[in-house]
Amino acid sequence: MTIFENICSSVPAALKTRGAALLAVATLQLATLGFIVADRIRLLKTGREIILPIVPVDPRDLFKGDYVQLGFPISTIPATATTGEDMPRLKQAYVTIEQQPDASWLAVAVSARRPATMAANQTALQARPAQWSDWSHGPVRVRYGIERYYVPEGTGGDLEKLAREKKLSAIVAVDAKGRAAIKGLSADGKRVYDEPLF
Amino acid sequence: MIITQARLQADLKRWQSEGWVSDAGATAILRDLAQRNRSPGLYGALAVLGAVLLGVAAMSFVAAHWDSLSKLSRLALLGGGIGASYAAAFELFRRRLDPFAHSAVLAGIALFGASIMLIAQMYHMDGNPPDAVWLWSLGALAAGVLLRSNPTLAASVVLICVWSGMTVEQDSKLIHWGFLPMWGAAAAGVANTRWRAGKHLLALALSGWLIVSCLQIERETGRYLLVAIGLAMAVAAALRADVIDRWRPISATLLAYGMVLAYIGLFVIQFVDRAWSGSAREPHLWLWGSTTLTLLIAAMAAGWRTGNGRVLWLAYAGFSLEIIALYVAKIGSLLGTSAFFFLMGVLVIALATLAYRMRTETVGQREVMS
Repeated sequence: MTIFENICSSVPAALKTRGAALLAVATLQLATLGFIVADRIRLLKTGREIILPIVPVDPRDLFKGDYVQLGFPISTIPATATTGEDMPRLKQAYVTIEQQPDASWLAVAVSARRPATMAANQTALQARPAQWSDWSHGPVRVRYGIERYYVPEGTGGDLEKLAREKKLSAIVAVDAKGRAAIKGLSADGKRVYDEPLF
Repeated sequence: MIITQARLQADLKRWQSEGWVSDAGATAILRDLAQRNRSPGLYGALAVLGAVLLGVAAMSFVAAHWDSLSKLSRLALLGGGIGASYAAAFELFRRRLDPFAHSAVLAGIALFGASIMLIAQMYHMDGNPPDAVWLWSLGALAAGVLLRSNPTLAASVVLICVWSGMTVEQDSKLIHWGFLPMWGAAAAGVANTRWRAGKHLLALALSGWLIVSCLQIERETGRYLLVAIGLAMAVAAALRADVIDRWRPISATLLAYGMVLAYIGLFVIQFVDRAWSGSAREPHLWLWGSTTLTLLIAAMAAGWRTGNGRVLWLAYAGFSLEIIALYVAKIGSLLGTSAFFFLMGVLVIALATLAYRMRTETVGQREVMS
């Protein structure tokens, strides 16, 4: 009889069931967390990289606690882009953004499903309307899930200075489903914050 | 009615001296009471609170020092913490220290939630905030149901409520049906452990959902629906108590919940909507006020008849609140308010006289019969 079998035979049946349940719960929870991390890493590694300039809405209110609230020109969808399709009360839609000759990105269309075909200078992002917004009446404020940049405790001042003095942009990875994730931040074309995968 | 141990002991002494309870009977009752009180007491509650504090401490600690640890180290720390919590729970279950084992499970759940939030921070994920809480509640629910852990089931009910609240907060017209299957799963877990306090927690959660859902329905329809549901519950509990109690002894609780739900609906109609839309909105306040006071008196009568102290005190509280709110809101003018209260006062005194006469007649009949 092995040591393992010895231990198992000395454990009462009720405790064995409980042990199995504990193992199942721990595995389930750790697997869930692992899946979230792996999914995010895959998106950051394989997603198409786009650079979006950051709009500091109000520099004095830029920092809330330990994260920077980011705003982008594509966060507001103009009325012209929302009138194409009737989309009542959708929780999520796709915003087609198009790169301009000056390398900036503009929101050009909104659709309930991801467009099947797009030009090479276009990509589509998953978006949720900001609170109380309605797709059918533009302009619409949207969130892409990249509106918060978390910074180490007490270091927000550095970023605030950069945002005031230089042109700050977010380097964003976009995957085939249109999900976006922040890879880092750049100022004047130079990467100032690079996010390691691990 | 809740009877404290000290009160029961005092009553037992009195009953013994009156000769209603024998000495042997009193000893047996006290022995039974002592056995029942072997359930985890203060130390169990403290262990649970300790676990909650440890979870919050872990979350704050990792968040505050996050740049001095690599992402991988933080992930390993969090994952290791979850694993260690459940391993500790197993060891504590093995040593038959169940309250401490349940606390360890709760600490694991707290770390699971902290992990979700911290992964979101590490990768700057700013998705739909309720989704993170939903995932957390799902983890808590799985642990609570599989491990038959009451503190964890309670935590999952709280998380489900937080998730539902956050979801509804995003949309003023949404009725959050997604709450019900999650609540049902938690209810199945509580039914499995036969936890009495858990059943009350579930009833409170469902009542909260019902109130919010009804208030989400546009215009007055939702308010009327809430009043109708509450009244239906209270009337069924008052008139068909025997039928309900044959199934489950819940008629007393049903009466209390029904009364509170109906009163909340009536309160919103009379005072909250009025405050939001201006005083001209509800011209029939005297009618609503007198109906509410009459229903509360009916609830008091039902409470008296069935010896339901909880309903009685809730009805007293509702009655007091209603009077204060009517006085502040005013029925037309102060003179009108005065006339209203005068009339209601005369009616209630008349009712008291009628009740006194009925009681005297009943006592008289009993004396004749004996």
